[in-house]
Amino acid sequence: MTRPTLTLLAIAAAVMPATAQDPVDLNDLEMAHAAVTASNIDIAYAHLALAFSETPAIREFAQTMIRDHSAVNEQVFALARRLGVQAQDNAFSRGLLEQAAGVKDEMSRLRGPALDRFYIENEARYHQTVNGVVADAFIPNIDNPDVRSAFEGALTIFRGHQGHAERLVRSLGPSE
Amino acid sequence: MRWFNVLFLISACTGPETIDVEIRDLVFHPFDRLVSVGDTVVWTNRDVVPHTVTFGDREGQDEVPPGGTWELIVPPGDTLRYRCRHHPLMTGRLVVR
Repeated sequence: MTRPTLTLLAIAAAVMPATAQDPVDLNDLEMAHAAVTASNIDIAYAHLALAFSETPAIREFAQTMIRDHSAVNEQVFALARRLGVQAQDNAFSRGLLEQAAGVKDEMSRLRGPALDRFYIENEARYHQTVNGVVADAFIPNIDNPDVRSAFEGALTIFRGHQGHAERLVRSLGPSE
Repeated sequence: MRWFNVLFLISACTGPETIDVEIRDLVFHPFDRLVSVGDTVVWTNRDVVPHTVTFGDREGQDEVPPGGTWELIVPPGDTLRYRCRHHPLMTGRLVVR
């Protein structure tokens, strides 16, 4: 089993709940569940941004997150149907959901520029963390080549999201 | 006979071409392409997410769904820059001869 890099561990420790399962210990079906869960969390953040933000660039980013993560999830479901398997719930997925609840609560309280900044900074951080887990912990440990290929394709798209979010963070300028 | 062959070759070289651009891994391949007025450029989306091929501020019929294609007959001009509206880091360029 391939172990993640120290950088990944540092990022994951800062963002993931301490109770969450170590991502390198997940099997293929648990990784698929975690990937869909991470996508659904991002879709939920995007819906909140669309509900409360009036900034065109933020709204366009949120719409892209809903469109792309829904498409990637659909690809995972199609692959699972083809392989005759089902994604498996696990402690790592539940840890992601626990952490997301706090972020959604915070987003629900914010409005205007404060919401825009919180949302897009969280998006940059969230994608950086998830991309690190997928690249360093998931992909090297996936057994099924079709599942690995799907994760590699998704990672390319999620890295694009990270770059897009980081560009928007820079466009907001420094925090006051 | 030789003159006929030369004329045929010139005609074949200068006629409109069909040029393929692949959209893959959130990148236009090739990013930069030399084209001639009248050529047809065909973009094919190999990603699992939708993209657009958008020139300037023009929006509308520019969506390219996964597995779909989008075509443009190259109009007179200089350099035509385009982008994906959904993914602003994705840009491309047609350089018109």
